[in-house]
Amino acid sequence: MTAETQSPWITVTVNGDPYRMPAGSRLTDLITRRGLQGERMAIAINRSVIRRTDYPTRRLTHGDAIDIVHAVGGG
Amino acid sequence: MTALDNPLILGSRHYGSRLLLGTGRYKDLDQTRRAIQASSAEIVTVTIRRLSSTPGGSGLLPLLSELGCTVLPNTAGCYTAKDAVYTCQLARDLLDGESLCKLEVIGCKETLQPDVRGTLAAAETLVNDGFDVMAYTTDDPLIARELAALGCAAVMPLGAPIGSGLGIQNPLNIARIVETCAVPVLVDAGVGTASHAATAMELGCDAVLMNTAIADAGEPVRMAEAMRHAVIAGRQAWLSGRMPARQYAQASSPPGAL
Repeated sequence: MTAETQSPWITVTVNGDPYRMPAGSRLTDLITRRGLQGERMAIAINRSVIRRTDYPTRRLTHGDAIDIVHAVGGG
Repeated sequence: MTALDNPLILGSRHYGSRLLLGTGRYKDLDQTRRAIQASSAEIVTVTIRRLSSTPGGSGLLPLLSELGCTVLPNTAGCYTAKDAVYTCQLARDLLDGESLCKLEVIGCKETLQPDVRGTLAAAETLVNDGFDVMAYTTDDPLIARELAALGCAAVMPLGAPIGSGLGIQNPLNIARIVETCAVPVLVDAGVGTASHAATAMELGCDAVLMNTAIADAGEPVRMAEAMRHAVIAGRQAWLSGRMPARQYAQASSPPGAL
């Protein structure tokens, strides 16, 4: 095991910015911490889209690149 | 749509309106709502962007749902086929499996000219993944034909650069695209005023997609209504078959005098 996986914290990136989470966190934990519950959004981890039904079970790992997107006005 | 016309068919869906609207650049959601209603558009585009850390939502999707619009996500801002495909995949999840997408792969920041090689590559991937691709492209008839052959649901040549409002710069090419593509052809980008929209339809286009022409008008809601009439007028003129143009006068009254 690496030093990172033994640490109580992991660092992921959320929309390009580093974000620290407790090791063992799941995607729903991130959503809660960011206050995004109930938002109409889509999420990808490492450019792979995660289905909404998988949010509660998807574990985050150190270095994950997470994109959280929504719809805005545009042509 | 009038009683004398067929519906616009995109993928497996039928639409009465031949005017598609973008939702960018409006003053607020209320103006967006009134413009959509005045235009009678049934398909409305949105852009996919990273959610800022401030929650709250834009309220745009609930509005479009309330209005009963089909939401057409675009890939504006994508400069590679890979990014465009990724954006469409995110959009499909966001929009509960919506298969329609407006593909844009931009090749140049100054002109926002489409990168046709990237567009073709992304279109192929998306079509194979089950998307109904509406491909924004140049007014090159050969590229448009290739996009149609790949299985795109529609090809959308530009009339002029995005946001320029210059009107259709190369009507000959648009007419040629209409002639040679077996899928719906929409002019997307370049419309500045109602006569431009009518011209697109008179050239035989199946529909017109616009945003800035309405949102940047002095009175956007009134312009939305003007565009609705222009698209219908142009369409009806195209279906009617215009009279032949002549070099010389031809009296419309019987010959002779009193």
